[in-house]
Amino acid sequence: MHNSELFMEYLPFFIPLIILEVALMLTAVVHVLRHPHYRFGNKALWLAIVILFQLVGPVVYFVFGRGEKA
Amino acid sequence: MSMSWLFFKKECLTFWRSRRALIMLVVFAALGILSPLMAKLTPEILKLSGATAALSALIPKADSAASWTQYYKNMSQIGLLVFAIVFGTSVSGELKDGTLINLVTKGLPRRAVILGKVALAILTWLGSVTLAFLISWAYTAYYFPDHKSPHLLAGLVALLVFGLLLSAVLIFGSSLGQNSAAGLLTGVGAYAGLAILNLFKSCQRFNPLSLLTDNMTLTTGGETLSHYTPAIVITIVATALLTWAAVRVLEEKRL
Repeated sequence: MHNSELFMEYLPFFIPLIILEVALMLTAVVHVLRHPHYRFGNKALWLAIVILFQLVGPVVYFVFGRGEKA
Repeated sequence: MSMSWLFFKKECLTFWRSRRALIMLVVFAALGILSPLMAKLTPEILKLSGATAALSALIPKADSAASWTQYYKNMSQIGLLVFAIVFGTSVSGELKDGTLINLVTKGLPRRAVILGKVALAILTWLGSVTLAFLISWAYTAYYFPDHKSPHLLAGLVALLVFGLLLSAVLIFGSSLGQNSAAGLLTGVGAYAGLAILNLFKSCQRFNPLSLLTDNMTLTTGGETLSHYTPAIVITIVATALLTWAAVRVLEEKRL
């Protein structure tokens, strides 16, 4: 089977997965930019974590990195 | 009662505002999609890695049982971990920040704090696991329409019941100290204890951990849910006891 065929076959899996990951990433990016007070680290570090590590990055940011004030 | 209800509503709002609800939603939805995908991809990957004819006979077939195996593996590993991380600091975080002082001095019973938090944790577990289950079920029914996993609900119910104990352990653990790791450590400790007990075959019927590990046996019909009735009863009793213990701990505590 060609790679492109394989990719098309798995498209019903990939599309919702990508949407979920991008949605969570964007929420985290917006939050990082709007709330520049973190428990540790700085804006650049958190942006990198949130964008580079899909799913895990935003989870780590919201649980450990975000500042106290909502 | 009205105070408890108000606190619970406040907890829900905080849960939403802190984006923790979103995390649970996205992670569990993703796990629901990933499980059938992994079941479908595993044989392909093994084939690509150049397995010989003799080896390829050993490669597990992509069927509905493989898909549900992946589902329960994901739930009991990544799902459990994310849930523990999200709820492991539930009480300790508030103790550290002193956010409970105001509420308690204005007359909120400490009991209501624990009950509200346990209730939210349990509801979140039920909701997230069911969401992942429904997504996984839709993909599995479409891609693997076979009859190899006839008792889907039995496996799911066991996993849902296990969440009660998990929630109570995490809230109890996190009320022990201001240290943010207290909840997680208590969870890990309880898990390790139950895992050791599970080594003894005679304990397995009574061990709450069976509800997390034997889901595939239940799904394929190797065992009925009633076989695990003792484990279910013990799980519910332990949940109640731990919730009560958490209330006692918080009542003794200086906020």
